[in-house]
Amino acid sequence: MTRALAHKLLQLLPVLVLVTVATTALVDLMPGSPGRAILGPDASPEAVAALDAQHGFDDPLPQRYLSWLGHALTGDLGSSVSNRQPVTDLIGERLPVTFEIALLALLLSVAVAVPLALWVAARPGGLADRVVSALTSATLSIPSFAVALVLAYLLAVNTHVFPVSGWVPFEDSPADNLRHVALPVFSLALAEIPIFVRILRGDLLTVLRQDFILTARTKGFSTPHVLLRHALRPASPSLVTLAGLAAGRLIGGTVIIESLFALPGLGNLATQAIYGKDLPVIQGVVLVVALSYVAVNALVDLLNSAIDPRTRTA
Amino acid sequence: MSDQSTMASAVSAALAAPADLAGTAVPDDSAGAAASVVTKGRRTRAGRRIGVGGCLAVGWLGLLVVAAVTAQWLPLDDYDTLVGDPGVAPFADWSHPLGTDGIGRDALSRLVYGARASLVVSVGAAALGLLVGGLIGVLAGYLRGWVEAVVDVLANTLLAFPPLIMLLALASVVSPTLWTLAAGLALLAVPPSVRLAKANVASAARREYVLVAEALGARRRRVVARELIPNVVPPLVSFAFVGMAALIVAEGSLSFLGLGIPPPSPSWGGMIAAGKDDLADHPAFVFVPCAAMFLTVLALNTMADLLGRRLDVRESML
Repeated sequence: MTRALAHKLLQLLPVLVLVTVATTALVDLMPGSPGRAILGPDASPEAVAALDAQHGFDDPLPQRYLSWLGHALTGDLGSSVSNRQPVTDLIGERLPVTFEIALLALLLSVAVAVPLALWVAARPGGLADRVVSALTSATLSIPSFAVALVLAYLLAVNTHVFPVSGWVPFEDSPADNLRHVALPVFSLALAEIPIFVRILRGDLLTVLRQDFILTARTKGFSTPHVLLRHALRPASPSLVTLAGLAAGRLIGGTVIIESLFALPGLGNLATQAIYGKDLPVIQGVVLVVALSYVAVNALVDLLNSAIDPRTRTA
Repeated sequence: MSDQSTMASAVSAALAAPADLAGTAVPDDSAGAAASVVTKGRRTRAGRRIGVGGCLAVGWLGLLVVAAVTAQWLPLDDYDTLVGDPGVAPFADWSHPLGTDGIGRDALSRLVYGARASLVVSVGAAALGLLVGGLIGVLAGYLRGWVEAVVDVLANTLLAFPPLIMLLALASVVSPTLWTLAAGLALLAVPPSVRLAKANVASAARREYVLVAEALGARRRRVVARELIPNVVPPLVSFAFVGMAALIVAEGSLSFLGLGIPPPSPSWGGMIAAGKDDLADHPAFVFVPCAAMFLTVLALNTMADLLGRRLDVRESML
């Protein structure tokens, strides 16, 4: 088990290296020097050269990468070009916000999708199945920022059920914190729920046609018992895989939602860094996102082998 | 599977899984829904019917394409000229059917010219991404060995970038034009196309007709061109619609963040971004382009479902 995990992580190592190399190479794609891009056309050539030298932007790519990697391995991701704060501090401040939203969105999606899928899979082709199928088809086609705007219009602007934007830390006031994350979490979950429902429904229908389900039914178990205790577990690996991919996507992909609801999360940090061409920060954010992608991938494998012993490898 | 990484298998499971859904996507297929989920390839008459939804989807896409192509000959106001009061509501004044925007430009005209930008970018990006990704996937699936290993690592690397962060990072160094946008978005379409093509070729490459072609002395290039590529085209075409839908949303997201098609050229995402601060007073600024984007994405997804059921292929999500 541990060996399989170590093997897996070893395979993911090249991905991490390539992602970080590619981010380092962004500097070379820039027309002109980064110092010029950051300071603007009015800055003196001396100031531009000083900034380039200070952050090592004028070194060749291999040297830049090795120096960044050396520092990164000791936990130093450099400092922001714009406000000189250490990148690790900036990320440390923002990560909990994004993490909370992503986790809540994921939990909400699973909590809604699993019962819904079980309900429609019990009677495929029935009225509920057709209604849910039409609804998932439609929701799948709404961009998440459109969902967010509709929700904001209905629940915040018009009826003031939730605040329009902003953030209150959980430590300050748990209730206010939850009120502020509600709309972003709903918007994100609404994009994931249809995918989860469809995948689990399909897998459940496949499982429900197998012999052991017939056996369970002939033993006289009720439909809920058969669905929950016999069918759900063998039908869940795809859902777990997809939920894992969604988790990776949510940690890096809440950019729009964070910008729309003015949440101080990782996505917000990324957009700010990109507007300001703050390369060390961009690099740090990409590293965190890639690391979470790798971690989630390993976690999904572990979970799937816990669910289905047949996928365990020696 | 032994020579593939487990992650690749996990992701291909995710790729393969929506195949079960292809048959369940359209609600009017209720009777066959259960059966088609299980027996995937059962081609019933009902499964081949296009249905009302399909007609509407084709109609909307056709209208959109015609409007976008013929925009300059249509009796529309110029998209960058002030033609009336700001904030005229839709359907209030028939010389501006969809009203005007925040500074008084015709909303219908901006919507149509925005459609042109969205379509050019997403069709161009999907075509480029699918062509490049498909070809790489075919070669990796046929040649296997180190080619496949390298392609796998590269595809995983591209997938490890969250799409929007990758586009934003590119936008920070390259100034956005229609062409750079299409190229950046094409990069998003490459890894899923590679996986899709590779998965389809891997099974086709072991079939008898490939063996026969090889035994008859066909060169590799001929085997790829004549025997393998025809296997890959139908699923890629079906995937192209899903891809375009995802790319339209991605382009909208970029424009929404102010990093897409630069103003004053209209784009749907740009219209939404410009209108979002007036949400309370003028919801139409936001909801008209949102509706256009929703209908287009829905139509493209419906097309992909229809084609997918006809061709019995797997679909994937970007």
